[in-house]
Amino acid sequence: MTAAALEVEGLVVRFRGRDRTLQVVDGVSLAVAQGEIVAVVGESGCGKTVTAMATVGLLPAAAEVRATAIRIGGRDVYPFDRATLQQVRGKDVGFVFQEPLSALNPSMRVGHQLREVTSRHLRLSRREEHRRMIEYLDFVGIPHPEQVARMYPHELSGGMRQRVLIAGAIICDPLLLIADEPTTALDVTIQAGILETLHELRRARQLSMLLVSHDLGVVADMADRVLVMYAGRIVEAASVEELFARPAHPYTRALLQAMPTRKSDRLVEIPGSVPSFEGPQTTCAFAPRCPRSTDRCTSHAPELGAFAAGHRVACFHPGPAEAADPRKARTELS
Amino acid sequence: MQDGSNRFGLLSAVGILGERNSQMLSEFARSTQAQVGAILSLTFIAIAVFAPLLAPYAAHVSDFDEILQGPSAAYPLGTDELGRDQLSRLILATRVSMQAGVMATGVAIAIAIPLGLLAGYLGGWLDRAIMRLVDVALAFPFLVLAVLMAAVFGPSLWNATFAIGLSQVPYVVRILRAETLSIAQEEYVASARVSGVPTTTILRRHVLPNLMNTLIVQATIIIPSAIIAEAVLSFLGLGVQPPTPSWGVMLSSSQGLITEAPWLVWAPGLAIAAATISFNLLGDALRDVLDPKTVGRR
Amino acid sequence: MKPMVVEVEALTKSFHKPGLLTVQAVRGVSFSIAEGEILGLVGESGSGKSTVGRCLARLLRPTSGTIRLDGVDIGQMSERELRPRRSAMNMVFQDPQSSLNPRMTVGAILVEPLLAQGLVKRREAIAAAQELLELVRMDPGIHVRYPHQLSGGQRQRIALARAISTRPRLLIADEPTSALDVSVRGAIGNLILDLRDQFSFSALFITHDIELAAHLCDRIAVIYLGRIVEIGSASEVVDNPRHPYTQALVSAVPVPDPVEQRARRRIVLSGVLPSPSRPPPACPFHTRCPIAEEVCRTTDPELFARRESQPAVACHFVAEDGTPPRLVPAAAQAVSDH
Repeated sequence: MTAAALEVEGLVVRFRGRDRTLQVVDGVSLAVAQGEIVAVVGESGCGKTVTAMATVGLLPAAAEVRATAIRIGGRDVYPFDRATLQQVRGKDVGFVFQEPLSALNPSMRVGHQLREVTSRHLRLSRREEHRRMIEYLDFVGIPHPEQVARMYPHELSGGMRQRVLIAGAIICDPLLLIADEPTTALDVTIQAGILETLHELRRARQLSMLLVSHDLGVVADMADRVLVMYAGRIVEAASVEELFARPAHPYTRALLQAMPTRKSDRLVEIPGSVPSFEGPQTTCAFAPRCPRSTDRCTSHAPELGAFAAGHRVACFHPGPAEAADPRKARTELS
Repeated sequence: MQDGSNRFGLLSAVGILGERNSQMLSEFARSTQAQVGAILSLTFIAIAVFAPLLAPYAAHVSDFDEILQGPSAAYPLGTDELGRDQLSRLILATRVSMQAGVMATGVAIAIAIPLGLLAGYLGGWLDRAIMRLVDVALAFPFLVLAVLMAAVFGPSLWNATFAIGLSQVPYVVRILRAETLSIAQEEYVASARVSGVPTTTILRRHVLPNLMNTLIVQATIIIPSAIIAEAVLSFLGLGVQPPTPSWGVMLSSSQGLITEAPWLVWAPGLAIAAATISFNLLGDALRDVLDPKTVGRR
Repeated sequence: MKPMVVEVEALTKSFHKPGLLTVQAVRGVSFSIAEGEILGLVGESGSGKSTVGRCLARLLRPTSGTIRLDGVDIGQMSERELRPRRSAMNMVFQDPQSSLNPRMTVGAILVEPLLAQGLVKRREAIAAAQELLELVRMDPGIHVRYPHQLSGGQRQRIALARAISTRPRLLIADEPTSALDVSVRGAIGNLILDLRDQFSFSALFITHDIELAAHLCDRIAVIYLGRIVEIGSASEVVDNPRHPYTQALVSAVPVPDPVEQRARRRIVLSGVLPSPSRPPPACPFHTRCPIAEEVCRTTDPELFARRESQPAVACHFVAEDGTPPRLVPAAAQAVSDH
């Protein structure tokens, strides 16, 4: 039995400010099996990016990261130590960030940056390094890779830069690719091309992926399983078909209904805003905005529990029956 | 957002201050940095204002029997090479240095604001012309300017102050221009233009207030430089004329005596350092207070 | 036929930078907007859509072409001539972080246009601000707050309230929801619709999101490299796209339904967007179009509707009866093997 590409248990992340502390991730556990694409979905501030970065210790020193366990390819990487992390990053785990321009060094040619990654982790001759670099640039769909390798990041378009980033992330054949909003900064027609490439990657190399995104369309396109995050916790976990067909958590339902599709008439709004917490949650974070909340929701925090086969929800009133119509327009409260 | 108590709330309740201003005062009063900076700066300014009353001796009084005496009951900070009481001179010098510092800064900012604003906001030939002027001014050595002014108008503190202020103008113009350029890109400026707000009003209401932070920082940087610049000029005879003391003059004239009479060096040196620090602290605290984003957060 | 509130003809805008190539951001754009109608202007980066918006708002002076607002050409007017007409048009911008002056109170922000146009007196300002807040369904007491105390969604509401405060004839909205979370976008979109119903202004809704445009807009114009390639009723343009670029755009937007999305055949465009300083000759899209031929390189396709009820399309391969050309999707297999 092959080990999971990624296993995270009981992750808690706190940021210590001058006066106050923010508990940004409140007990998250997840796993990505070999060859699987797991998407973490949520809006800004839900903690999805922090979760992804925390798995390889990429958070700044001000962040307090605690976990029961973090394993990559079966190997423990928590508690963090510099040597292990440096080995793991780039080799076992590849990263693709949202903004390709700031992730690439503007004063270094693109090919050089890729070779830097390989020279750190792989023992290859110069010629082999070069060959590998061209091979991967070609694989991610970059035309004329020999020429592109000699260019600087600013000479490339956004889509090309993102492909370069992907090439850099997979060039050491990692177990796991962590992609944080990989297409958000790109035009939708370019995004289509990148998604195609990522599909190719999965087909050709059985790459496992942790995909962080707020875009449910991208998730529907790519993911096998989906985790919905809200205010630092996972509130629903299911296969992608199950989640979209039978969303159980009111937040998930609201998110799906907020997307403009031809079927709905008016756009759905979710009034209110995401709360922040200084410590572990003792009530349901979504209750103030939830059409179904009851006293129980404001006095206890729901845990992730089974809803259906392979489908878990953290909610006291999950399921399709609507207590109130979420499409009712509400006054924006200040 | 009402965070914490507003100790000056009473003042706004009775209409003496607007609510926001009393809130700001309260915020300000709460920071240690602000307290120290404010107290020290105000102390220096107060000393400057009341100097003649505070100094036990007048500036020119000297007692040749008491040359280069160490600190004593009669002369708490000792005497200098002409037998003058250091404490009195230090106090009187505060007035000179404060004047130089604050006024030079005022001159620099008053001239730089319209130039920087117009260059940054209007661009085009006006911008190019102003920046050429700035380049020329930067190439011009400060001392030459001061000498010229002294030659034409006669040496005095006012002329020295003006020269110092003028020498700072190019730097401030550059910084204000850059800041204005960036503010002009903000969408709220575009929104004001679309709404038909006249250019002068836009500059006054949208650009200038958002330059405040930069201006304050610039001021706190210039004041100590100005104090030192004044010392240089006075030492060269282009600024205050003897017997009026300034810290810089006291410092520079005591250089050769550092082994014999070290107290002549410490006192003015510490005074300059203390003044610099207090204005910097004050500047930081003011900037925090004036920025609406930091109200309620510390 | 209703008179058009906005009539734009052959709008062109180029940016000259000494020593660098001229950027031709907008190259001969024409459209009109009727009273109470929302026209969506959909395009990606480099399309020139924001430049069109800024020309309409006269933040920029067009290089050539006419912009008629209620029959009067404002395209080349001086700032002085424009000033009294400014109450007739206003704009909402994309970034809630920078669309409101952080040093002004919400109330002051709201009434600035009214005061600038002399439509209210200073002493009526607070009442006017409160009225505007109620109009956008916010608590009137907020007028004393500062922008940083409000959320992104709330700030966009303020921006909207300010923009319609002078009862403009034309509202230009440049990506007003793009920087907001998905859950908040609906509120702003619905608000625009409600305000339009209430005040019957015309609106130009600029966006990169064609699905959102389909929801909010009555008509949609698709813009590519400074030219309009398709323009017509929103439902027609999105449900039955004719221009190859429109087809690619619609097919590229992933549908939030895994079963449907994975069964779709996606059209992936080849090549890169040409630089606006060196647009391709004739049809701007031919360098990336899957069905481009020689004629596309030599002859400019005319923008016209084959049948009266259909959108106008600028493509040589739209049939005489308006049937769109079929594009063979680039991916030979389905999007995923599931």
